[in-house]
Formats: sequence, structure tokens, C-alpha cells
Amino acid sequence: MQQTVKASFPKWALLLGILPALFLQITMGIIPSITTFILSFTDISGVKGVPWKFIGLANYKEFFFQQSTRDLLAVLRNSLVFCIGVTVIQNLIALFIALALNSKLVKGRGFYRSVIFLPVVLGVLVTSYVWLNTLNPMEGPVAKLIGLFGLNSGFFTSASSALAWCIFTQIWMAMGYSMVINLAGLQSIPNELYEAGEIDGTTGMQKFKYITFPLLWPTINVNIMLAIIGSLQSYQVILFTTGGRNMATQTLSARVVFFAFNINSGSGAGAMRQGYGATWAMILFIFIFAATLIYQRAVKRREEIQ
Amino acid sequence: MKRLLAILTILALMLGMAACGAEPAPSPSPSASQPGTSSHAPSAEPSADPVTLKLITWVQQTNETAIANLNAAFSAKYPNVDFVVDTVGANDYPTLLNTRISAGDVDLITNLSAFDTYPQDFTRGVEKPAWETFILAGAYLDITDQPFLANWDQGMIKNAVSYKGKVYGLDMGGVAYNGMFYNKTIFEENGYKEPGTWAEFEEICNGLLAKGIYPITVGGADAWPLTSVGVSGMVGAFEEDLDGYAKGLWEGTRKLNDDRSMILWGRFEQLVSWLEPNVMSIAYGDCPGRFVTGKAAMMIDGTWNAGAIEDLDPNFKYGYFPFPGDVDGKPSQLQGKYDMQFNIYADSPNLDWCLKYFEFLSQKENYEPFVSALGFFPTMPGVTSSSEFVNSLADKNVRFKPSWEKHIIAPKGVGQYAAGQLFNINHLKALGGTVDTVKELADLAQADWDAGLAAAQ
Amino acid sequence: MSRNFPLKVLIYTFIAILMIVYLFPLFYALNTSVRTKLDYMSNPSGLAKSIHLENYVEAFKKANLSAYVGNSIFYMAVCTTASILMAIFLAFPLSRGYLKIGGFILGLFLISMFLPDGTIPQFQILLRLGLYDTRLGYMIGMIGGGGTPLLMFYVYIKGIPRDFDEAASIDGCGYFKYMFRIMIPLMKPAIASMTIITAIGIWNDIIRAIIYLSNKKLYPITRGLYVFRGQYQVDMTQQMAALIMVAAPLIIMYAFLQRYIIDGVVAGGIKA
Repeated sequence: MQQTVKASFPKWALLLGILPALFLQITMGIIPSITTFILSFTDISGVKGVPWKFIGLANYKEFFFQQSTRDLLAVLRNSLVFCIGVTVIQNLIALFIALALNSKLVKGRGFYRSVIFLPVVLGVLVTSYVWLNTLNPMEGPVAKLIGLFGLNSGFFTSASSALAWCIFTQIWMAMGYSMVINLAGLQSIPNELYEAGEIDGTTGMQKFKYITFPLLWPTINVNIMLAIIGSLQSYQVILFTTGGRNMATQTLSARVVFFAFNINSGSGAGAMRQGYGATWAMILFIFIFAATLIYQRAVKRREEIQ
Repeated sequence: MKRLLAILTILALMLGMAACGAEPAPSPSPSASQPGTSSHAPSAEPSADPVTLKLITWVQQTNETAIANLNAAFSAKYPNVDFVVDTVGANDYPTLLNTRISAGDVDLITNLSAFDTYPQDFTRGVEKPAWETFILAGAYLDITDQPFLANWDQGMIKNAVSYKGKVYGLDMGGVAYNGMFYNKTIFEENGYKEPGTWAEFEEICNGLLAKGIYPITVGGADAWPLTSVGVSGMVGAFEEDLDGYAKGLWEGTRKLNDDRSMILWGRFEQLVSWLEPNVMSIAYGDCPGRFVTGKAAMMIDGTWNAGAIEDLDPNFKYGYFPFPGDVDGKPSQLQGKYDMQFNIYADSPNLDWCLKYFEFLSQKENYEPFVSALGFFPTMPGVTSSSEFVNSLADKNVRFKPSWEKHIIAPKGVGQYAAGQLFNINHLKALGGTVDTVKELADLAQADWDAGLAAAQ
Repeated sequence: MSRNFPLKVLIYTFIAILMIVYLFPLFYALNTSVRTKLDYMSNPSGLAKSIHLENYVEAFKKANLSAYVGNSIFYMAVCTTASILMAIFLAFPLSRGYLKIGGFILGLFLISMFLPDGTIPQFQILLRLGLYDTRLGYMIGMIGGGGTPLLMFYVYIKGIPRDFDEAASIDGCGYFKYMFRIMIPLMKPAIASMTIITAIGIWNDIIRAIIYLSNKKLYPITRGLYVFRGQYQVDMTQQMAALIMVAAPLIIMYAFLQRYIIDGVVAGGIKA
């Protein structure tokens, strides 16, 4: 809990310094977030000059009853698969990477770390295009490689594998952050603990189980929370690899931008339906809320058992 | 305690916002509620100050070149006017259109189609087409009273660019897209000619396959070349009365899995087997290159893309034929739509010059080279295209009709198997989908269609 | 030969696989970008027979990158400076506990991660303020004092003794003068790593560039790449060349500063 301290500087100056950030945060952060809820009851479009009005629950009715239930469930399932896939795989690998690249056994750790962090620098557009190029099903290198084993795949263009490759690309891109956070966590574990453990004769595996993991757990927990929320909100990789139209990779967040901004929606798309898009954003919000709540509950129960 | 305070404050803020939001929605501006009550007066001679007109269009090399030449001709006549033309890929064009109109940052607008996707009297619960939204927003200038309209085909004015009796644009011509280009050299080498019946088409495709030549390529990565062109063309060739088929599906007298529809599905199954492998990863822009270099003997596409073929290889010998359908033994005819429509952004600061541009475009000596370069069928009486390719289609263009795509409209929120043109063959396993057979896909499509209709009631 | 040997083999195998997965696509993009179209078409997965830089020249011209790179630098400079300054002036009083409502204000910044996505109303606000398709409107969407920099600075400032503040106030040094003269120089390592992270985020933005900008003159370089791909899908070799040119400035910067970035974040995290 924060303690208020007598300031060394005049309060007006401190407040003046805070003001720009606070103003932007309220007008461009908090208010729009709340307004999303309000807009979800309107038929507002994205075009200036088009009349709009409150239409009650019509958007929600359309969401639940005027779209194919199977397709809706597919979108929800895709969101869940994307979220769980990214969260679990990314955090598992990030943990291994951080352990490996923190280990004194490995030479050139700095180089490996920077390579894994590199996609963060490249950004989502470059990342997506690089992988589209590498996973070109028409005689691309990976297609050739698996062809040697008699396999073939449409990668991003095949309904059965597209989502998996989106998950893969997302993890490839965001791994750097998870790794860095884990490294920070590992380095904050005091060396004395390991030394003490050594004296007690703990083996490598025991060391991990009794020292590293428990002390790293808060960091991993942060990583998992970030991954859950981030993966549910993230649609960019999906958008730039498989497009906004392919139902096989549609997630809640991709549908939000599909309705609200028509990005990559196909040449026959209608006018931007931002009211309906806001409805999808609200459903996404509830979905994220539920996911984090369930996760937190599960963690708490585990901790209580232990 | 502090956390509680924070939550309370946020709640209070939220309630405050909700209260604000409960106010009556801003009443639309007069021009928006009654679109085009006042037509813009016929243009006076505009000022001679330097003017830059902003025009937006989509990526299509032939069109872009034709527009550039048209603009150059206009600038030659009116040296104070120059142009900025912005283009994006066709799939991103709706975004560009929406955003430019919102920003008021455009003078001349091109549209991929005319105002011809209007819901029919037997349809319910369908989404408003984008063009209607834009007219209601007052984005398109009403040109009903302009004298230059008299130069155009009045059928086009009535069917393609009018809404509730007012005229909002000019359409540059018709295109056909219910068939495919074919490589004349490959056909001749193997002793084939343009197929008139499905059986002949079958023979050609199976024959080519047996010789190790992929019969057909299409830009599957962009989705629409396969759906809007391939599917629309196949349905159009098979069903004589497209409006009747659409109505029958809406009213339940026809089914997507009835016996007659299943014959069509069977042909789709064959068609899929004749496509190049991995066709779903071929970009539309990549297709003419594959076709010209002989990677496939035929290319499913619209007649508008002849220019791209000629750009790649001026000596390449090609032709175009519609999907054979053997409806009542008659040879298939071209089907298509009104293509590229020009509109004027109603709040453009350069309305006079925009109207001057329309007037310029409405003169035969300017329109004729333009429509020839576009490769469209002209929509101005007395104009003949100088395009050899367009003229070669004359005998297939006797009973020109709108394509299947223009007849069918699906209810909002319909399931993916019955979306768009209803025959969504991209869901077949052979094309990277998840459905094994056309029979299964037909049943899924009909189930989705039924559910969509029920929800729309 | 120690008992660590099997473990070492395991670790190095793991790292080798990672390096292939991380470096191969980039190498392949580079390889594609220096091949002629014909060479690429004949065997997409082959190695470049000879190095052709024409693709770069062509793509640079066609994608109009020279026009966009200036915009990107401008957006990056303005948004990064503004965001970092805001975060510093926000973090200082909150970290020190100088304000009664400090906890509440911090909450306002932390909670937005859990609130509904506000992109649609943001767009409506900017649209109705006439800021749609303007540099200002685009940048307003990207400037902010929250996020990682705020937390990082919040933690970092706690490590700087309060004695400095008191000494400065006794000397009659004004708040802003104190911040710029004393505090900011003391925070240099944290500011450096956060500046780079923020700048990377802004350089790589594409969604806002699609949503908020329509006029070509205002495009950042990423939007140029996006449009280029839509226009010239035909040519994978030129596409890859354009892509590498977009990424190059950051990769070069990263090559020089990477230790600083990663170690900076790691070190900051340890204090938290």
C-alpha cells in the first residue's frame, strides 16, 4: 500500500507534469473503453455523415440468433485454441529458453538471446510476410522439406492447418518478450540459495523443483496472464497471414476489426458496421474477463492445495 | 479501501457516460436524411486556378493505365487540372472507400460495381449494400439534371447508377466473367477447340491432365476469382432462369441438394480436379503470368483481364469462352455485370471540375478510347470498342445477362457453407477445406441456408 | 569431461533448433530478395546463384519508400519523445508517493488492460474531431504515458534516493528544472532501454496506420509495405527486398544496441 509522503516540490507542479499523460489516458483510454459498451447498442457506421441511432439489443440479438451458431462456436473455439496454444507453448518454451540461456554452461548466451528477441524488433507485418514466404506451399523450402517425407501441406491456405501456423507465427514473434521477463525473474533469484543447496547436495533436478521454479513462479504467472490477455486481443498475425475472411482462423478479435474496419475483408464488403463491431468487442471483453478469472481461480486452488 | 474507491469512481464515470449516451442520437443532417433532394446545378465554366483532383481506384493494371491516359487527355485540354490517383488491392478497396469518404479526402470515386446488388422483393434480413449507405450518407453527388446523361445508354442509367429515381454516377461499361481464357497454342497442338458442351469441356480437361498439362489455374488466394467468377459462372451456365433459382431457394421450392443442384455439384467436383495443385495459394496478380508461361492451359477470370495478358506477352494467342452448361442444348452466352462506376464525392471542393470531368467522359471521342483500353462492352450508343478481343466475343454476347452473383443474396449471418454464392467449393478438402465430398457440402450448405432463412424471418 | 556433458548436449541441441527456426526464415527472405524473378520462379527454394540488388532499387522506387521513411522517422521521434516524457513525469510523483491520489491515478493506467477494447470509439472521437487522416490524429492514438515504461520508471525511481529531491528543493531548484537537470540524467539506463522499446513499437505499427490514415502523403513505411504487397503480389523477390528495407533500420539499430535493450529490460525487471 502506497504511503503519501510530504512532497519536496509544489503540488501544482507535480500535477502539471502528470496532466498530459492523465488527460490522454482518460480521453483516449478509459472513455473509449467504456463507450464501446454504449456503442454496442447503436447502429453507428464508420462513415461520417451516415445517420445513426440507438437500436436497443438488436446487435446482441443478431450476435446470438441471427448468425450461424456453428460458425459462432467455431469463432469461440478458434479464440480458445489460439489462446491456450499460444499461452501454453510460448510459456513452456520461454521457460526452457530462459533456463538454457541463463545457464553458465552455455557460451555466447548474449547472441542467442538477441536472435530470439529479434522478431520483436521486426514487428508483426514483417514477421507475417517472412513466414508466408517461407511457408509457401508452391515449392517453398518447408514444403520441399516435408515433401522428402512424402508429406504436403497448404500451411496458411489449408483450413485444417492454418490456425496452427498462426499460433506458431504468433509464438515465434512474441517469444522474445517472454524470454526476457523470465530471464529477469531468474536473475533475481539470489545465488546464495543455490550455493546453500549445493552444500546440501541437491541435484540439478531438485534445484529446479525446490529453488528455481517456486521463486520463478510469480514471474511465470505474470507471463501467463500477459499471454492470455495478449493472445485473445491479438489478431494481427491472423489478419496478415490468412486474411480477414477465412473462417478457419477467425477469432473474436479478428471479427471485431472485420466488422468495424473492413480490413482485408474482400472486395464485396459493406460499409463499416462499428456498432456491431462494438458488440463483438464487448463479447471479447467478457471472454477475456472469464478466461483470466478461471485461470486465477485455478492458480489459487493449486496454491491452497500446496 | 483505495481499491474500492477506484472501482467506485470508475463506476460513477461509466454511469455518467451512459447518461450522456442516452441523449437522443444526433439528428442526421438534412442532406443525409433526404439524399439528393437537390441536384447539383449544371456546371458553369469552372475557374482556371490550378486544381488537383483526387481519384481512388483499385489495383488492376489495365484500368490504371486507361485511367491515367484519360486523365492525361483531360489535363491536355485543361492544363490547370492535374490528378492524384491512389490505388489499393481490391480486397482492401472497401476500407479505402470508407476511409476516404470519412476523411472527405477525395474528389472522384470509382466503384467496382454498379448499384445492382439491391435486395429483391423475396429477400429478407439481408445486409444493406455499401453503396446504399454511401448514398444515404450524402457522399455521392446527385447528377440527375446534368445534360451529359443524355449521351449514355438509358438502360445503364436506369439499371446501374440510379437509386430511387435519382442518378448518382456513370458506369463505364459491361464485363463478362462467367468463363475462362484459354491458351490457343496448347489447344491447337492437342487438337482441341472451344468447348460448346460440358462433355467437350470434360474431354479437353481430362485429355490435358493425361498429357501432364494442368488444365486450369485461378487466383484462389484472393478468394473472389474462384467464387465470384468460377462459381458464379458455373451456376449461370447451368441454370437457365437464375432469378427463378434464387427465388426458389428463398421460398423453399428449390434446394441446394435437390437432384438438379446435385448435377451441378458433380460438375464442381470435376472442375476442382482440373485446377492446378495448391491453387488456393496463387494470388490473382500471379495468375496471368502462370497462364502466359503455359503452367496451365486455361485461366478462370473476367474479360477485363485481357490487358494483363497482352502486357505480359503481346504475341500470346488466347481466347475466352463461357463455362459450357448445355442448358436446353443452347451454347452458353456471356454473363457479367456493369463494371467500374464513376461517382463524384458530394462534398468535394472541386465539384465544378468533377462535373467537367464527367462531361468530358460523356463525349464519344473521349469515351471510345477509354472503354477500348478498359476492354469493357461500351455503355454509350454509337460507340464500338477498338479492342480486338472484345469484338471477338460478339457471337457469345447475344443474350448477355447479369451473372449469378447479381441474382443471389444471402441473409445476414448465414453460415459459412451457404455464404456468398452458395456453392462454396473452397470448403472441399481438395481445395484446403475440411469437407470430403460435394454431397456432404451440399447438405451442409442447405442446412446453413435453412437456418439462415429461419433466423431472418 | 564433466557430469554436465549430457546436459550440455541437450541444451546445445535445443539452442541449435531454435537458431534454425529463428534465423532460417530471415535468411530465406534475404536469399529471395537478391534473386532474379526468373531464377526464383524456376526453383523458389533454391539458393541465389548470383546476387542481384536490382530488386531493392525497383522495390524502393515502386513502393515509394523514400516518401514514407521520413514520415516514419517523424512519427517515431515525436511519439517516442512525448510518451517517454509523459511516463517520466507520471512515474516520478507516483513512485515517490507525493500525491494523495497517486494510487488511484496508477490504477487508471493499469486497469485499461482489463477494460473493453476502445479502438472503435477512439476512431469515432478522432473522426468527429476532424483528426481522422491527419498526422496529429494518428499520433494521438499512439502517444501515452502508461504501459511498460511507466512501470519501469516507477521501479527505477524508487532506487534513486529521495535525498536528491530534498537537496534540490532546499536549493530552490524548480520541479521541472530538477527533473531535466538531475532526475532524467540519473534515469538514463532505464530511459534508454524504454526509448528503444517504445520506438520499435511505433516504427512497426500497422493497424493504426491502416485505420487512421488514408492519404498516401502521411503513410509510415509499414503502410507502404502493406500497400506494395497488395499491388505487386506478383513479385516475391521485390516484396522481400521491400520488406528487408523496412526492417533494416531497426535491425541495424538493434545490432548495435541489443545488449543494452535486453540487459536493460532484464535489469529493470529484477528490481521490480
